[in-house]
Amino acid sequence: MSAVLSKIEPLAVRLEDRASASPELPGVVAIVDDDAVTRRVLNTLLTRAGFGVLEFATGTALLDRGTEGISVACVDLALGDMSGLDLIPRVRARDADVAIVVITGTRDVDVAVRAMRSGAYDFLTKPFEPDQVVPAVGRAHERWCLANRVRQLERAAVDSEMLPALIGRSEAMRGLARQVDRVVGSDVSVCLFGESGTGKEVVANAIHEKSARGSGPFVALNCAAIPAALQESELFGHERGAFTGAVQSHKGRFEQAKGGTLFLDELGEMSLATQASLLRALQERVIRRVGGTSDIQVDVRIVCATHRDLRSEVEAGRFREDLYFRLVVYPIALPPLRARIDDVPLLVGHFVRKLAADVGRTVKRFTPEALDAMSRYPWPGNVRELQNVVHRCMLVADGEEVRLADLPSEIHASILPPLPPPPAPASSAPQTPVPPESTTREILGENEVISLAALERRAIENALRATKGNMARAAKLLGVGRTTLYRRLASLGIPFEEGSK
Amino acid sequence: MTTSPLVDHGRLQMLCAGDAALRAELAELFVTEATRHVKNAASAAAAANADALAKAAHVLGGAANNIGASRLGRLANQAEDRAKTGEVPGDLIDEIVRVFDETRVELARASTT
Repeated sequence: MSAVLSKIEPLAVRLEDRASASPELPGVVAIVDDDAVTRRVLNTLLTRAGFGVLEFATGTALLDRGTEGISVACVDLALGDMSGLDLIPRVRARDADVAIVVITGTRDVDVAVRAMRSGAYDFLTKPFEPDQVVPAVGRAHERWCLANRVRQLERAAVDSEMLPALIGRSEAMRGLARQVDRVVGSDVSVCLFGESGTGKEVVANAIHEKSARGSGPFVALNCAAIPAALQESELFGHERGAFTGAVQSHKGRFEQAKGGTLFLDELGEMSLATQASLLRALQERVIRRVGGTSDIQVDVRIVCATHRDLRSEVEAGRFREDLYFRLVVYPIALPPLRARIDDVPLLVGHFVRKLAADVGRTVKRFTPEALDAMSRYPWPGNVRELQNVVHRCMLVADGEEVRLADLPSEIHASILPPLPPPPAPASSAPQTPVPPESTTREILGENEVISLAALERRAIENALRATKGNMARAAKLLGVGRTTLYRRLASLGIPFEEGSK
Repeated sequence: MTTSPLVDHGRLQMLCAGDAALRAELAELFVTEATRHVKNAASAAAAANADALAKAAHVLGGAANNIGASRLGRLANQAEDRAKTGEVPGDLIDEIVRVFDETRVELARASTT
């Protein structure tokens, strides 16, 4: 009894770590098995571990009851009225979040593999070890909690579509939203600092939209994209014949932005000559087109942005100090995505909806495992990189869900080192550490050439040795699913203990 | 073929985690269920219905192995395997009925001690 309880504690702790914002959700475990003894044993074990339990002798009984409130369904594959293999898709069609743990005789592991493919989350082999039941159901329950949390966040994201630019509920993002609120009431000049990809233009646009100038134009100029010689004419416009190639007069961005907001991106890349003209425009509130003779009133709000440290640009003499003080009246720092990693599921949900039409695919969501992996990646390219990854995944995914395997290699690579703790601390024996990633040169001599199959066999055998035959952990070390590992073992003819976990 | 123990008491003990009342309850549940499965197997055999026999033997085998009724479980597995090839092994059914009786007695004895 106490042994059983001690098994579930690490799970509870892990859940806390991951979903600190929401406590563990209550959920009921459904036991679907035509064997009364199995139902009674499972019921006892799970009740003692603190789960609510419902028993069903047939698949039909579960379908009649529906899955409301059920977090995990333990389904025997050999049910009297239908095969568990038929039941799984029918349950999942109604409720994709319910985590299904398959119960099967050790005599038919291949059926278990098929069940995993049809959407089961895990499996227990009969006669099962009571010690394995609670951790397995605990993990499945945790998965359901995670899926539920994602669903809640997605709903919250839809609710906050008022401000689509500022997606996130992290402290960092709430702080940013407060700062934006503070500057929208006036025309104060705002400068946005942040790594590239953090969404500086998005925030600039949000400031514009929320301000009194929201109904006016939002005009952006990326200083890095315009050669120094053309910057002035881009900003202030030019008259016909002002310079070679100026075949007709042209309105500059200042004029285009009349009554609205002018967003100067990559301000650090502006030439010193343009800086001088810009300063004059801001001081005198008038501009003159290149080659023009008349003054034009300036009626814009300036928001600028840079990924550079503008202060040190000033010290290095590359940026005018007087202009710096004019533009950087209210600095706002944009957090890098890694500083608000909790927002990843929300952002993913947002991009999935936003890109769905573009991609023309049926992808509706990322699985909790995929989101979890994405929440461990440092995102050097920030939200822009996230958007690109979501886009790519939507293109490669099969069906409605983007799974762990669909994620690009850089994310897989970054989640390898901190392996999740082994599911059930079955023994306290020290585990042989296996280097998560070795270069091929460490595996093979420099001039040694072996077939890929032999390499695979060696990798699998090493992993099994290191984990003392623990399939789940060996699969994790190898970066493949347990099902894949079983398939590879079978096709390589490596003997393995059926049902070993 | 080596003989399996009639009842693997260690298995039953592990399932009920030392809870004597639960052990008795599990044994009783098993006997009730298994009685039905044995009857189903026997009538399937009588009707020479190999499919139904395989199904009944499968359920019986699963239940028996699960609770540690090893000899009965093993016989049921054999019956299932043979029935799956279309055979109706009458001799095996007789043995299943006999071993089930012994198992029932053994479980009842263990529950009262």
